[in-house]
Amino acid sequence: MTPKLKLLENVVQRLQNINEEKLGALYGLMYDGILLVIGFSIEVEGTSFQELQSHFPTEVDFCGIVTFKISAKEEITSSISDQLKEVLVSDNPILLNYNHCEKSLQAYFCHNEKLVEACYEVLTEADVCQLFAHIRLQTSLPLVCELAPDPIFEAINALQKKVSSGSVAFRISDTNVYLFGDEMEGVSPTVGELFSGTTSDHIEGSTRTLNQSKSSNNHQQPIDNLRVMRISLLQKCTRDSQTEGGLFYKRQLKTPFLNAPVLQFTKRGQSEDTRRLKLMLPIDALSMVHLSRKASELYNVLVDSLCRSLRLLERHLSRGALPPAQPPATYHFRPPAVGHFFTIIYPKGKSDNELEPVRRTFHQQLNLPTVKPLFRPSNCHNFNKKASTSTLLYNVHEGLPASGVKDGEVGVVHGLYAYHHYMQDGKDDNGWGCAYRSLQTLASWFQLQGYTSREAPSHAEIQKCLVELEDKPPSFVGSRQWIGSTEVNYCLDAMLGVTCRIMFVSSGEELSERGSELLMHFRTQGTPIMIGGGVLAHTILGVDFNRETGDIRFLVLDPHYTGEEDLHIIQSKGWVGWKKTSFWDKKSFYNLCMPVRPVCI
Amino acid sequence: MGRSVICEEKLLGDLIKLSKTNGFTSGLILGQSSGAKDFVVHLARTPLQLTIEPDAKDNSSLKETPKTWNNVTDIEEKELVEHAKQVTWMLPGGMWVLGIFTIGPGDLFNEALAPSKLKSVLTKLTKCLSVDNYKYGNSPSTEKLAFHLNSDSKKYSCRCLDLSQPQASQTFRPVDWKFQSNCTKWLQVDCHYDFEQLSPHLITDSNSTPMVKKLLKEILDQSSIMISKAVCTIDGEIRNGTDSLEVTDKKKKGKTSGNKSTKEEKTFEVNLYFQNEEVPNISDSLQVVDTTGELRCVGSLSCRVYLHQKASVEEAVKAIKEDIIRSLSSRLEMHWDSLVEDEVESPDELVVLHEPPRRVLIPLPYCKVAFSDYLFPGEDASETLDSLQLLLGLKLNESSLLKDFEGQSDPNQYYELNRHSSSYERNKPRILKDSQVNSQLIITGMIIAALILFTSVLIQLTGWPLSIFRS
Repeated sequence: MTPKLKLLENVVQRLQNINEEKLGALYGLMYDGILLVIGFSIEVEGTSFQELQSHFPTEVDFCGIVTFKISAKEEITSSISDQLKEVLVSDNPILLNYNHCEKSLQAYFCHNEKLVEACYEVLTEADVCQLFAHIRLQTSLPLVCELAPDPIFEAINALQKKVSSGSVAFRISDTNVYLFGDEMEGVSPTVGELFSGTTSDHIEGSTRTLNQSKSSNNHQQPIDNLRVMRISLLQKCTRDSQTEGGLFYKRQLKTPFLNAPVLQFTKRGQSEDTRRLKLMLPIDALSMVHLSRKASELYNVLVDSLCRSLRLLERHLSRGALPPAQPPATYHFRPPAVGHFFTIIYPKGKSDNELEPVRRTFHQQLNLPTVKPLFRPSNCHNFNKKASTSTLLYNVHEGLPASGVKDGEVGVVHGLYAYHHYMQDGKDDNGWGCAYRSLQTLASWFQLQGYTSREAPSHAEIQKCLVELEDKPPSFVGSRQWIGSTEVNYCLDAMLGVTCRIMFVSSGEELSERGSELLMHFRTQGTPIMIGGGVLAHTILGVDFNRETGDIRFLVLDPHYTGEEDLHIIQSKGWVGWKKTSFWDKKSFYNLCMPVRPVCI
Repeated sequence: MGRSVICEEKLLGDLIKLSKTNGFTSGLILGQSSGAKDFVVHLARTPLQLTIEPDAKDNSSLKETPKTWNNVTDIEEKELVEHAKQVTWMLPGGMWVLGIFTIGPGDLFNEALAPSKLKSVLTKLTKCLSVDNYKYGNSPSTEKLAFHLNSDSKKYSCRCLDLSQPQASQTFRPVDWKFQSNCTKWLQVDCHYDFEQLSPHLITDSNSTPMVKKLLKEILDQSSIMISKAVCTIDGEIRNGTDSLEVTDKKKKGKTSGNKSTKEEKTFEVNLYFQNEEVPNISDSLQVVDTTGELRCVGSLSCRVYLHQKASVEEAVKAIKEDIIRSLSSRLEMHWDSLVEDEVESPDELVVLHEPPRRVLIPLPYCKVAFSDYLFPGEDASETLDSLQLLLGLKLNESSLLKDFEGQSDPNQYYELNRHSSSYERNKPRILKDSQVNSQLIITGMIIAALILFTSVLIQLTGWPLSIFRS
């Protein structure tokens, strides 16, 4: 029986970016006799499709090949055949061909070395979120071994064997639900039922609760109802007695009875390396399971995901420098265009610059543009948004009504920013801190987009920075003096290495003539703009402009707000909103500080 | 509601026998404490000369008889305390020294001086037993028992003293003490704690020779922390702590009723699971350690505890955890005390095997409960039998001990363990059992020499050893 085929919309869209002959791998998972393809990768020298599988959530496996041929007739060449043989999960690997000339996508199942054309259905990311839950297993396992790749490999292999032998159990975090691997299928609840029993704790909502406005960018669609179930690990430290039970252990018992504990001291030999690597392996593993799966089946999925995580760690450790300078840390990424999780291990605290080559390979493998960061630690998916220490609101403009410009072209900020305004973090800057706050919002954008791991700078940090640049005298630190666009420009450069284009307008009215330029900025750069004029500073988040009528509105974020983080007030009282040209002072001149998005990954 | 105590009926007979001597006898009340109820499984008279004080004790022939005093105020606290410490090692988890008993003329609680003496003994006892965290000498109840049998009238009475009260207001309160046969149906709970889950302990002290005692203490500390946090299953299930241990048992039995004989012998099987930290502590998550060696614990520590019929799941779990720690600490302590030199010293061998004593079970005569004793490898049970008589007043045959409760490991197995590492192959492990290490070595040497002699003679006689198999 060949399965039915479904493709994630993101896969179909991303395949269309490729217009040369390449070979790629498909990654998907089975449910209800359906194969759902959720991701693909492109062949890059020195990497293997099978290996890349470990970066996907468990249950998502290498399941087929994608080609990009223009010829009408599809056939299995020997190279494709070799690759298909590596597909282990299915007897019917799938072959996709995207013809970039005709812009057509054909799907085939391999059936005894023959191709059978298959129909497919496209599912959106939201559809998939409705059907699947993500299970996140977090734990740590001790590793002690010699400092060389082979012993690391052996030690981690031994750990894999140990956890696969029934010596572990799992607990759904914050509940009393345990999985021991001997659960009866009949009475077991489904994964979906586990969620409905514990709703709010485990279903991660979006921070952006309001609907997207029509003006926002397509690829920023918030992923609502991304269900994440957290799991912790338990390790059995007893044996069953041989007389009863003992189903798991019987075969492991070599001696007829359990021997009393003895202590074995081993001294290092003369020629032996006396150094030992002692490491708590940070396990952070995702799996993707259909909501109709029984909880009793989760045990094996979790063991698999534990092993997948151990394989990633093993590869990371044995291929890296020994001894490792930093402990490994696991990061889960979910770039918007990709629509699935992708897990990478980096040495904790290693600089973004040093890791650039590693990231580049992943960008290439997933065929992602190499102009903006997607896999920096700061890009990683934030699972516990609720628990985050920061109370800041993000993207407060989302959910606003349309600007009112008829047939206007809309350009708004790309991605996420945080709303910084007066009186936050216990700092009374009412009356003088507006430009500082606008700078913080700009800096937050660079952090949230992964360009920097640096938090938005405090007033004191900004002042120190300007003193160090010799722009201001030392007495400036701790003062309540204003700053303007120029200072914002200096700080962004010095702190984040970001350059800004400065736009000067001699009056507020003149801004209405800059519609095209602003539109261009939001289309190509997508960064928030700091605007300073007179005694006021604001942040421009977007523009809605009709080239023919000249009608224009500016999406303005006002840092002078002194109230609580209440989205309703902020939106209804106009602290963020579409403003007419009359919003700007006719008599004063303005400087716009327009950050240029660095091209990097 | 005051305190009530149920004591195994046949123990009264033993007490009456003891009351035939003149003067005062004292001893320990051993059993389980649950809420306001105590279950006494054994009464152990305090033996003579536990603490060897050469000047005070000149007549060693008295050894067989229990020590008596002329007056209750003569009772030596020191001896009682030492007795209690040693007996505690033998108790299964969930059993404690519940108090003291005295036998002698008169009614102590109505005398002028006696109550304050008993008070001071109980206070001292409780204080001393609380010193070692890993022995769990004190029962969860702060009410300690004082039982007295009037040797003239053969009447008994029991009072309790609440040590949680401020000392000034501590007074003996009456206790409802009953002798009863089969004072409770003891529920048996078994567990086998497995050391193989622990990662090897690295020995890092490169300057000095590692001290066995220090290392073993580290292992004890580490185990105790992990065990105290461990999650427990009973017969494969996580159960609500406040539920009674036996309830589901009945329910299950209801389904498979018919087999009545196994119903009596039901044993609860406990498994422990360590809860791994979700996020490793960054500060110690990565280390490169320069080691001089490592210490690996191998084998299983077997536990058997007993709980009164109405015990909760929580009590059972606590008893098992206490039993593991108490037994581990007892045997490690016995081991390091037995070492001639406190060093993992052996300039020649790369592998040294330390074999702490293993646990044997001692069934009590009047109920199902068994106490423990420890046997060093090669040691026979005669010493155990002597100490049982001395400490517990039990006269037992060797055959009544459960000697294979824990297996004795085969040292060659650990030689095998190192087979993968070629550097060990030439080195036969040296085995350190107890203080007779040196004699052990000599004996081993002699055996090897004898074997060599034997084989060479064989070769001489048969020309080639293979011919043995041919013939």
